[in-house]
Amino acid sequence: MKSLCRNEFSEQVVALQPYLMRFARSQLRNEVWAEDAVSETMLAAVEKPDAFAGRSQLKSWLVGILKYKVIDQLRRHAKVASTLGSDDNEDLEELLFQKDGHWREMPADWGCGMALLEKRQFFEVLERCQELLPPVQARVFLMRHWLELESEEICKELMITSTNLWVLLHRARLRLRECLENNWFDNGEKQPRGGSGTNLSGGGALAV
Amino acid sequence: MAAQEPTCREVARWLFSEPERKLSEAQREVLEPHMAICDACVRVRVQVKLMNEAMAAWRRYREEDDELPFR
Repeated sequence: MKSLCRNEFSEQVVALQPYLMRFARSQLRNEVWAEDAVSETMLAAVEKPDAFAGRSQLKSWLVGILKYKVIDQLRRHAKVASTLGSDDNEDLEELLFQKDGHWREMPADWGCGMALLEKRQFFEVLERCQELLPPVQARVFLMRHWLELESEEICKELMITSTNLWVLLHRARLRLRECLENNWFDNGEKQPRGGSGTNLSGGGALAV
Repeated sequence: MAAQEPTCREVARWLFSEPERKLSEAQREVLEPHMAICDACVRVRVQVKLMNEAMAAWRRYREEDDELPFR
């Protein structure tokens, strides 16, 4: 009877593999690392089914384990995970600001935005916008906002300086701001800027 | 000697880095006079506030909603 329960538990864990993979892919931006993190998560779960007390949903419990396994992967591959690609080096500020430091275009009024936090579509756009972040910016952004690590921990795990981290987070947020402005708050007054990787209107765009 | 007025580009860097890097006293001293005359930076400050508040809600949302369009 006990082994049957264990089998059922294992089946439920395996069934959640695609759910776990999407988080791992999103955070790690590397298919092999993501598969390793998810495999280790599922293995840890099925080896110790008794650790799942049933107080939370199984998937929440697994995501909790996955977060540790994802950090293990980042630590293991720190050097590669923090090596900037050409996308990460693209200077969005040059597109957004004039030479004298003024905004090229007036930022949109997001004043009534708080109500948006109740809207599912807003989070869909936010999700898509973070997918467009260059790899290293995406990793540090999600370490901060999904894994909820403090700056010092991120610097330690990725072996980067605090100045590097601030630059990466600043660039990621500036890019997200631009993407949200173009794809959610845009009231038709302006055209999305090309080349900055912040326009969702390419393939598979959201109807926003 | 009065500190130099920041550009909008610098203000955006300060505002977007604030969750990790608190503004210095010197930065705060020159920020508010800039805000008083710059509508663009006032809007950006609202945007930053909204984005910061959206992060916690987004974290919950993406873990609870099975239908979010992940790849």
